Order: sequence, then C-alpha cells, then structure tokens
Amino acid sequence: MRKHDLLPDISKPGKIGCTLPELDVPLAELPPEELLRKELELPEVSEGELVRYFTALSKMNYGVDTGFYPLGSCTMKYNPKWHEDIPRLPGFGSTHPLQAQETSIWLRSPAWMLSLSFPWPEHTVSLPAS
Amino acid sequence: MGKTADVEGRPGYVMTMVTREQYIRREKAISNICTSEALMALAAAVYLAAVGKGGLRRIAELCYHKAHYAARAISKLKGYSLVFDRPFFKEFAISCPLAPSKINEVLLHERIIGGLDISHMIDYGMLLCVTEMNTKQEIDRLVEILASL
Repeated sequence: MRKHDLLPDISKPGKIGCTLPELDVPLAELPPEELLRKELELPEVSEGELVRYFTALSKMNYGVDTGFYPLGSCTMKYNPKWHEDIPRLPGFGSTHPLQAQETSIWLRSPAWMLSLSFPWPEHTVSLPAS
Repeated sequence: MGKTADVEGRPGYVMTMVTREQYIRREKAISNICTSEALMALAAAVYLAAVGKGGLRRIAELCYHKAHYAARAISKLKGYSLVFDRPFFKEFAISCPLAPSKINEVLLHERIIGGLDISHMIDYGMLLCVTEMNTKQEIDRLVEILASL
C-alpha cells in the first residue's frame, strides 16, 4: 500500500474484512428487481488491510494522544474517552429508544450510575447489591 | 470532501463549501459548544469498509430472509396475521389475538423484549423487526411462546 492510497485503490473483488453470521433459515423470495439496488460503491478489503489503513491514518493525526491540544471548537474536540466506554457497556449499547420503560428504567437509577467505575480511583464508587 | 493536489502534485483532501464559523473564521467563532459526530462517522466508515459491497448486500439478505422466516411462521399461528401484503425488508406489522401490551408482558417474563405496540394505529397491532443479529433458534422460541398464548 502506497502512502496516499485510499481504500478504493487497494480494493480487490471478493475480499471482506469481517465474518458474517450464517444463513440459518430457508430462503425467501426476493422483492421485484426494480426495488433492489444493483451495486454499492464500497471497497472490498481484508481485515488486515483495513486495520493497517486506519492505523496509518491515525498516525497522521494530531490529537491529545500525541501532543498538547488546547481548546478547540466543536468538531475539533472529543468528549472524555470514558464517555465512549459507557455507551459500550453490555446491555446499554443495545438498548432501543422505543423499548418498554420497565426494561430500561435501571439505566436511570442512581445505584447503577454510581456502580460505574470511573478511571480515577478516587472517583470509584459502588453500592452493595441490595 | 474535495480532492486537490498540493504544489508538489501530492493528493490532498479539503472540506469545501463548509461555511461554518468553526472552519472559515475560527478566531471570531462564538458558538463552540456542541457535539462531535466525527467519531460516529468514522465508526460507520470502518464498518462499511469491513463488510464491503458484498458483505453489506449479504447482511441485507440475512435480515430479509430471517424477517420473512419469522413473518411466515407467526402468520401461520392461530389468531395472528400479517397486516400488510406489500414487500418489506426487516420490519413487519402483525395483528395479534390479544393486546400487544399483554403479549409483551409475557415475552418480557421470558426475557424477550417484544415488538413495538402500535395498537393506537392498528387494532392489536405489533411491529416486529428481525435482523442478521437474530438466530433461527431465537425466532423459533419467539414463535413458540406466541403460539402458547
């Protein structure tokens, strides 16, 4: 891969960067052709190529991980990193905004909020299980 | 995004027609508090590149076949029927033999979050969604519980 290659430049037909779930049900008849899109303009790369591509891009970036990063405007800054961890907690990331309230009320409970471990030891709080 | 070349002919990418003050006159910007969508856009770009053109189509087909498998099985149950007969992708409305809120209570007891209650729009209506994330085993279990009501 040359330095300025983009994903479409290294794309090869048939390559894929992930493993897809199996089809475990019988095939259904597809809708009429005119309702289906023919082709998508997406690159086809292996998982290794994909990781190397984005890792190389990240090395071209200047940010708080690589140096002093003073105040920036909205699109130039990110939230604290642990804000990214919380939405990825099991059961939280897959919560649907329309699911019944009784299945998500715990998300707003102070006990649950306090049970989150924050990266600073002095802020780690937990409540005994009731 | 626009593509251009620098004085040495190397490719460069620039944001064009972006008239936000954060870009064009940052020193005078006054609205500096809002969210960054760049991280979400990056995650979506990585996802799309990982699955590629063949993979995204395959995922869409998985959603389609699994949703139709579920729809067919549910519509065969006594008291249940599909509300519409037009082509659908991965979401379909069913009419149930009892109130969707009651059904969802039972499903929740079985640790399944049921469909969206749309009985305010369609009598005894429930909107179900099946994607590539759902296995045949999960669909069969849902159908089994619905049949037992």
